[in-house]
Amino acid sequence: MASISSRRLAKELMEIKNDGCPVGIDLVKADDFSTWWFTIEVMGESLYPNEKFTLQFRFDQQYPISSPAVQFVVTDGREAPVHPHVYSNGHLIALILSCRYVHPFLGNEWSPVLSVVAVCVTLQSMLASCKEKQRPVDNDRYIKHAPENPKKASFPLNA
Amino acid sequence: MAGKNQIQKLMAEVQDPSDFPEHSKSPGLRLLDSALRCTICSELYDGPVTLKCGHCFCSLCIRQSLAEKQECPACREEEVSEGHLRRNTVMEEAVTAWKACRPYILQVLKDVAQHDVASSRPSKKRRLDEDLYEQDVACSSPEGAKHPPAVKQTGSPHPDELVDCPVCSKRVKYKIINEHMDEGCTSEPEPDFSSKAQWENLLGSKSLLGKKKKKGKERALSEEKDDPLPKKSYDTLRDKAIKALLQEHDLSTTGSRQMLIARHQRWVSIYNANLDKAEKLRKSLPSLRRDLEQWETQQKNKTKRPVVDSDTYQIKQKSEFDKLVEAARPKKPSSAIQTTSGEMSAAPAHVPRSRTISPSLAEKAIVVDDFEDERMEN
Repeated sequence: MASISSRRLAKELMEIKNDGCPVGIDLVKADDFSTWWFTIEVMGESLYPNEKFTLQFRFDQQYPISSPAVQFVVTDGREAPVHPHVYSNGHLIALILSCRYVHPFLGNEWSPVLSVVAVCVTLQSMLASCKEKQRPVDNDRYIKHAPENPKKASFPLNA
Repeated sequence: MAGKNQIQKLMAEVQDPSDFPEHSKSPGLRLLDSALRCTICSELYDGPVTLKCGHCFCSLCIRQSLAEKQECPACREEEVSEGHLRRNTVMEEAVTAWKACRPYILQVLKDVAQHDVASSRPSKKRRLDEDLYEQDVACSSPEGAKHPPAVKQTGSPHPDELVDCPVCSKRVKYKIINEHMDEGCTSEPEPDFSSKAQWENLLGSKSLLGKKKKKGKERALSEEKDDPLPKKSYDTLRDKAIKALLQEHDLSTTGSRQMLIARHQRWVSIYNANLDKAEKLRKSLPSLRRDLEQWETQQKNKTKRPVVDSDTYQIKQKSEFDKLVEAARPKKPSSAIQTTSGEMSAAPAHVPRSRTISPSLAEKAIVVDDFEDERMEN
């Protein structure tokens, strides 16, 4: 019997295949149960017209109890959005340690009832509500020493 | 990598609400199917329990979640703990019934779609939906939990099965329940004895697992059947004490302290979650042990992989390592310059300023740690 995390991910994928992703979000690849890629673009008026970003999700065996590791992909010509909460290496400021960002309904942390698509939507709305295109203040310092996995990063300033 | 095949296979095999046609074709069926699913694992509820706020989860799911964070995953109500969990017996019955009729309904829907007889379709489906709707309402209403658990649906229990005596509510074997009541509920030792016998029955397959330690087993046997296991504060326990805890339940005592603790924690969760199910649906202790072993191998698979080819990993990542080492080396003088330029001498300046300027030493430590973590955890 497959693990709970795999089964849950399989169901999320089913849902995506059946119902499709929300507008502006597309599944790029989900070939296994460890890494999924999505593209997101901001619809309507925003600071990011015609920009498309790639999001990477990584899952561990504890998913969905533990959060997925989420970051923007910055390889092969892809770029992270210029946003006060996004480092230039694709890591997200607020997805601290156990990966958290303000969810419109659920406050600011990961919860096992959230899903991959819910996180995408949250990030999409984060971009949509952006007022000023700039990098986080500590961008240079952070990317120098950032661990490969954003979940392992420590944020002395923003924790 | 088995990735793609595995994902295809699993997707073909998992059941989810989309097995049913959309709302316009079969109103409510999808909703019903998803209403009977745990929002954590998205399976049909397995041992459903309810929190103070009314949200319902599988017992094991919510126990794991609470171990991470003491809040309701759905509404984030705080200060909830395992002590607040209440069995949701009505939901459990609804799920049992749904499991039984789910394949039938799917078959009916398929037949209907095939025949596509315009006249018979709406009426038939309507009747089904109405039944199901009622059930759904019954189990989601807040008063639902107050209904007494319904009597066994089919036939009478097995003669050796324990049933609640309606008079004294002790557990008595079904075959002697009448004599028991006739004697004015005086046949005292019987229930105790029979529950022990049942335990022996359950544990009978011990040779399968090849366990030792008679003493521990006997203690486990005499344990009250429905008592949940208490949580332990492992920090205050020596390795030996933790091993004893594990032995008490015939669990493996190998591995590091961390593994022992994780194993015991998981066992407590599995064991207690099992108690949240109706007796009929509970698993035997040996099968719980198998679940635990399976869980442990799953954990190991994940943790082991990078370690196994650590040599190739190091070779592959060599350039990366070198880069990091290079990046780390010239850092020292430059950060010293930075801090000294901040008009204080280098050494003490690190402490107060580390929050604002690059706490380079600390961060290097994080980077190094990270590789170790990576190997251990991923």
